[in-house]
Parts: sequence; structure tokens; C-alpha cells
Amino acid sequence: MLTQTREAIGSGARLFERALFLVAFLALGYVAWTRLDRYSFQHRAISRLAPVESSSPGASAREGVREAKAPSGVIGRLSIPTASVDAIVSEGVDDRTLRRAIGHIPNTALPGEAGNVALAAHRDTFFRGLEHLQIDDPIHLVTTGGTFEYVVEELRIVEPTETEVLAPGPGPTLTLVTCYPFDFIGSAPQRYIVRAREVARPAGLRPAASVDPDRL
Amino acid sequence: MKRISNLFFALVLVASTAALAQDSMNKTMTGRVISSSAFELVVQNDAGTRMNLVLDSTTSKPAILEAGDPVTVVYKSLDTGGYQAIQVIEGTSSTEAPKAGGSTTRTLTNTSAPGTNGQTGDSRTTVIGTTGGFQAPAKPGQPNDPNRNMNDSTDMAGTTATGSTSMGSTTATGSMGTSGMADDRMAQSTTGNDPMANDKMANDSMARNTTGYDADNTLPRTAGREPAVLVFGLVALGAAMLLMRRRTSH
Repeated sequence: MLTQTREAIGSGARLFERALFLVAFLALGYVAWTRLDRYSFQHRAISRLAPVESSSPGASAREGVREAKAPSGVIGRLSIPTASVDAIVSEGVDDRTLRRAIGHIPNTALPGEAGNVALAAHRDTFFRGLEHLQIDDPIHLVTTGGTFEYVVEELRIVEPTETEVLAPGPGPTLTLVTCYPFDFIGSAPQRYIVRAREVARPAGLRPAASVDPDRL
Repeated sequence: MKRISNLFFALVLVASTAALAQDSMNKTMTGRVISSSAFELVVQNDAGTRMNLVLDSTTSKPAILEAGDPVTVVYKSLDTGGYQAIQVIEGTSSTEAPKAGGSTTRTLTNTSAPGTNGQTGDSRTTVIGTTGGFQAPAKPGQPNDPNRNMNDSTDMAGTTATGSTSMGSTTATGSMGTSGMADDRMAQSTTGNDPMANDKMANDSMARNTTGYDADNTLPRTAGREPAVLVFGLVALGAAMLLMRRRTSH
């Protein structure tokens, strides 16, 4: 009787052990797959963007901005040297997009348009380095139409409901959104906001007009 | 081999426990006092990051805290968001005294039209670096440009705020005339006959119209599943190996 009980316990323990191995395999496999998927997407998008970057400055800038709305969804490449950020920007902020790239928040301005270009990304991947960003740090947004230069002018921590941080300012701006605190695991309670103003845009692209609040 | 597996289990358990317990851990911040009241302390660290900390009767702090005082703050995160100071110790900061720049701190909330505010109160917004008012330290060779502050002040005419500690009566001018601090107050007033509650509803709809982004009227979720899944996987692996080890040793 005792032997049978021991065997039953041993069998249950083996089953539980296998289940744990399976769970671990699935979880670690998921992490490995997301990293591989991200790397693969970034690599493909960067190689696709590179020849366009070098061949279409100036006059084609407007076309480049329009191309940002193309079905491919790739808007450009965001580079922040001081924060070690260098990644592709893609349209949308759904789970899949944010897993693979920095997302352009829908219905906010595109680079070159008047208003506020709002980008979001995970704090544990692309925007991890934002915590090291400081006022006056430069930000480069390379699109198919040329490179837009921004300078950080404000860093803020806000509540997730404060969507007004996406509102357009008096001139062309860039807003980066990520979760806060940076070392939080899980759904962080706040958002870290970086606001930058545009200081340079591709030659041939006229300065963006100011936003008329009455038309919003 | 046995030692290596023991070490691995220990590492996995320590890492997992530390990661999962981080929410309840106390943290420390060193910086200078920007402002202090009976209920709130605003501290700015060397990097220019400002933090608003709630003070209550349990907070241990010096009797007098003045703007510019170097402090070390032990704090914890609150479930409701924000941070509570547990202990405030005077001294031990290498932060330079914050510079009083322009009189206007630029805010981002519905800034398209003028508004005014003035009284003090509380807010959940934390301004951690601006181009006016108390500024984050400028980098070497990049002094704060007073002209830029002036321009900012001009751009934002009528919209004044002092970090997250100021808030108060707001005069709306036109359909968009609210200040950022007023929005914060609106976000907090949800019950009762508070006239601000009605304003909040109007303001929510205004925010939607202004930003164009409307996913449940919140900013995008930017927390990936990866870290949590990784910790979960490591814990499961550690437990499975522990069970296997125990079974084979018997």
C-alpha cells in the first residue's frame, strides 16, 4: 500500500516536473522568438530604408512624407545617440508593431507635417535609453524624404489618461511616449514623455505651418 | 555539476524574487528640494529629474525643508500611482542649486490657447525637465538660452505653471482655454457636485479633438510582455530542475 502511494506521488511529481519544463520551454521560446522577430524586422526594414535615404534628399521630401503612409507602414528610423536609441519607426501602436518597432501613434502628425509627431515604444526594448536623455539632446528622424532634426525641450512623467501630451504645439514637435518607471515589470502605472522641437528639416521641404487651434 | 546546478537555482530564485518583489521595495533618491509643503515634496536630482513625493504623518523628515536644500529621500511607489516619501534626510547631494530661469514653465496640455492659473494645490503630473523655470542642468557647451525661454514664454502666453505643485483657478478662454494644471485637477475630480467634474467631461472630449488619438482616451500601452514572461520561464525552469534533482537523488 505504502509502495503504491509512493509510486503515485512519484508519478505525479514527474508529471508536474514535465509540465514545468514545458512551461519553461514555451516561455523562454516566446522570448527568444520575439527577439528574433524584432531583429529580423529591424534588419529588413533598415536595409530597405537605406538606399531610399541616400537617394532622395531635397525635392522628394514631400513624396517621402506621403510614402510614410504606405501600406508597408515603415515611417523612418529614429536615432538618439545620447540614449543609444536606433530603431525603425512603423505605423500603429498595436502589440505586434510595438513588439517589432517604435510605433507612430495614429492620427498624430507625420514627419514634415504641421503638428506633433508622436511615437511610442516599449521601455524594455527600444526606449530603454530614454531614461538617460537630457534637455537639449539631439534626436534624428530619418525618413524616405530626408532627415528631421529635433532637440529635447521637456521631459515629463504623466498619467496614462493625459492624452493632451499628444496635442500639437505652436510649431512642429516630436513626442516620445514610453512606460514609467523604467525598471518596472508588468504594466507600469505612468508614462514618460519626451517632447522635442524641430530644429531642422530636409532641404526642399517648407517649414511646417503653425497649427491653428480653431481648426482642431 | 551539483554545485553548478545549486548555484543556478540560487541565482534563478534570487533574480525572480527580486524582480517580483520590486514593487514593494523602497528606493532612494538624492537631490535638491525644489518645493516643500505639509503634504508634498518636490525634489530634483543631478540628472534634472524631478519627483513629486507625497508626505504624510508617517514620513520622517526634518522640521524645516527649504528650496535648494540637499536631501536624500527614501520613498516607495503607491498603488494609486505616484510616490510616498518614507524618510527625508537632509544633506548628501552633489546637485548644483537649480537655476531660476524664465518665469514660465512650459506645459504640454492643451496649450493652443491661453489660460491662467495661480493657486497652489496638488497634481499628479511631474515635470522633470523644462526649458523654463527650474531647469535641468544644461550640458557643457550648451548653456540655457534665455532667448529661447523668452520665446517659450511668448508662445505659451497666459499658460503658467510651476512644475506639478501649482494648480488652481482656471479661466477658460474660448473653446480651448484651459491650462495643464486645470486638466490635472479635472482628472482627479470624479464624484460629488464638484463643478470641475462637468468641466472634466468637456475637457476629455476636447483632448480627443485635440490629439486625434483616441484609444480609450489613454496613452498607448508600452509595457512589453517579454520581461514578465522571461521571469516566469526562468522560475518554471528552476522549479523543474529542482524537482528533477530531488527525484534523481532519491
